[in-house]
Amino acid sequence: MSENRNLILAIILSLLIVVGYQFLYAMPKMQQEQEARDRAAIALLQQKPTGTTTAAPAAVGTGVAPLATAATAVSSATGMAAVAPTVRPILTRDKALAQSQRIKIDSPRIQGSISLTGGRLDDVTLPTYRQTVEANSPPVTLLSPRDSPEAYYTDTGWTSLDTKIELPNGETVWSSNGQVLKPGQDVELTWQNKTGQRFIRKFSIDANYMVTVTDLVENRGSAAITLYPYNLAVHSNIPPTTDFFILHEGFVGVADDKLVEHNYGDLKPEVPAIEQESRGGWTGLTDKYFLLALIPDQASRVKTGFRSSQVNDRQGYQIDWLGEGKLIAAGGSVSSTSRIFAGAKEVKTLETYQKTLGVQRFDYAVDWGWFFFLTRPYFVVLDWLVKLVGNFGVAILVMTVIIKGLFYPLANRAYIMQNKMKKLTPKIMEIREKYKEDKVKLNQEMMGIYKKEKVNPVSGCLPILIQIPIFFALYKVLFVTIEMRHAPFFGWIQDLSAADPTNVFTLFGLLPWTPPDWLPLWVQSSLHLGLWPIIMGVTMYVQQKMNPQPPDPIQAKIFAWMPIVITFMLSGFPAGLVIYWAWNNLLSVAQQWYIGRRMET
Amino acid sequence: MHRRNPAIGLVTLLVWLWRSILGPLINMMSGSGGGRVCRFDPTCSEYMREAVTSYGFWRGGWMGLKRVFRCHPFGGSGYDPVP
Repeated sequence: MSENRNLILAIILSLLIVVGYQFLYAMPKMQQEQEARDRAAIALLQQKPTGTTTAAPAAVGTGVAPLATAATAVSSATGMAAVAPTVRPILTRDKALAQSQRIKIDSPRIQGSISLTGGRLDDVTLPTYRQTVEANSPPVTLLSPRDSPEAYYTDTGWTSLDTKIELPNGETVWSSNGQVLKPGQDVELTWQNKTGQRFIRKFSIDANYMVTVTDLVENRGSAAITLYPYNLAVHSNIPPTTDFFILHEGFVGVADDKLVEHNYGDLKPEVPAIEQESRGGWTGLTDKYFLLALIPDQASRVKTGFRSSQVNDRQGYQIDWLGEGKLIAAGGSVSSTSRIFAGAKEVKTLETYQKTLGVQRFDYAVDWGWFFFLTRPYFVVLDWLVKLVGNFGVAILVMTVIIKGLFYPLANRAYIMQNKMKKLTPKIMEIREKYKEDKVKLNQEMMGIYKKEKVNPVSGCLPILIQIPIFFALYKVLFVTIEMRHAPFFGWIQDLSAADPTNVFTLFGLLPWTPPDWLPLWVQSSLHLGLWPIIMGVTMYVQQKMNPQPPDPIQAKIFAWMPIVITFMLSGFPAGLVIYWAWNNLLSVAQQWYIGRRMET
Repeated sequence: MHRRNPAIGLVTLLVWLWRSILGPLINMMSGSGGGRVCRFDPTCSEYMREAVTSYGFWRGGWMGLKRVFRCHPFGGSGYDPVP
């Protein structure tokens, strides 16, 4: 019995020792080693080569790949020299495309190609979105190769601390097993280096906007190697932005379930990079409607970065992620799967990717703003209404009626009270004047008149303040969702997301005149005053006339100018918004007029 | 009167800006209907200005803030001057 017990005890003890050793010593040590390696790799990736650094790649195509940096990664990963950049001539987009052999991408919503030189996705157009509202307008271009006027491309691959390992880079010419990439038909690129590794890169595409890249390395060398997967994208020049303060354009990403947003202007020579560590998540560049997002394996730890960089001697921007090092034993192989989203920020599509592929908070790609708890439900209702009535503009009108309806009782009370006040004002002024010197008497009289007339508002200004975000949120939804893009309304409005095309200053096109483009944008848009902004201004003026004028003469003057100023301010805004405002004012005026008439009888 | 106190001058200026530009602008742009809708007479901004001029920046400012936070359905209404 006791022998048995001793045996069991011994077994347990030795187990404890083994497990304890693993837990307390071996694992932390392995972790430390891993962390040290990661740190070293990251450090190398961030190292900005000074002109004299010998470790930096020497020339184009020497094969000392992306190691050079993520900061300068553009250069090395793209196969350009970091030390002495050779400036490549900028070609037309077509010529730049023709420079390398390509695999055609043929998917319902993505057309384009993959370059066999560099094995990268650098040509994407979106056939379901046209550049302008005209029917024969070319499709929206998202990605373009390095030597095109507006370079915007991705780069996938491996990096290593060991500079002796030859890794594929931007000049690597891959061979492929197919000519066309389409949903259900993958394409595999292969490349063999001189140090005993074989690289296989598989591209798959779905019927929407997601490209999946599986990078496999076979180590046929005699020693184990450690490689770090990465993915980056560069945009040359400063991407054009609509420059509206309520809309985020620029760097966007999710790190550990948190949204990270930065403007292009946040990156300066003093702040060349902004980095995050995260498990899963994604990193992207966005404009108002379109997004490029690099999505690492959602279970892996990555370091993501937003950087400013040089692209072929042009100022540019870079997004990237760097994964954990993967040890590949001699004779072994390892693979890394990542995704590239290149497409339109359609709410449903993004949500589907979040659900089916587990992309962390991919819904954050749409700028829902602080009032997301309002903007998101609004979108659901609006989307449903659009399907019901078939026209986005009409849906806006119906939606406004619904929201106004919810506030009908509240606004009614406010108008009733306002009407009473209007009648009371002369009496109050009289009392004020009469008892100017006697404060006690004045108070008594004032109390009396308020009691007598039963001016007892239920609301107050806080409920009105609460209404502001509720209306602002609708405005925000109309502004950010791609569903309004190129959506027509009646008459001359062909695109609710663009400014009203008519202009009173040219007598609606009779005068051949456009505001000179060297003027600041807000001046230009003020000189382009459409019909709808004027209608909006008139509704605002009428609404103002129904309310009491402020007693202060300066204030009264400012009041009088306000509808005119606002009309010009909104002249450059999307027509859908201006129509919404006009309609909303009109409804308010109608409600107030109705209340006023009912109170008189 | 504390005419020469710059803090009080600032409050007066802010109240004026709010009443003549910002307030009406927000009211009009927000689509909440426009018009003056206050539970109290004088309005909160007027109250704030009066309180600060007669009780000084800190005490008056505090009184004005308390007044703003009474602006809800259960906070009373009607004529409510600065004491």
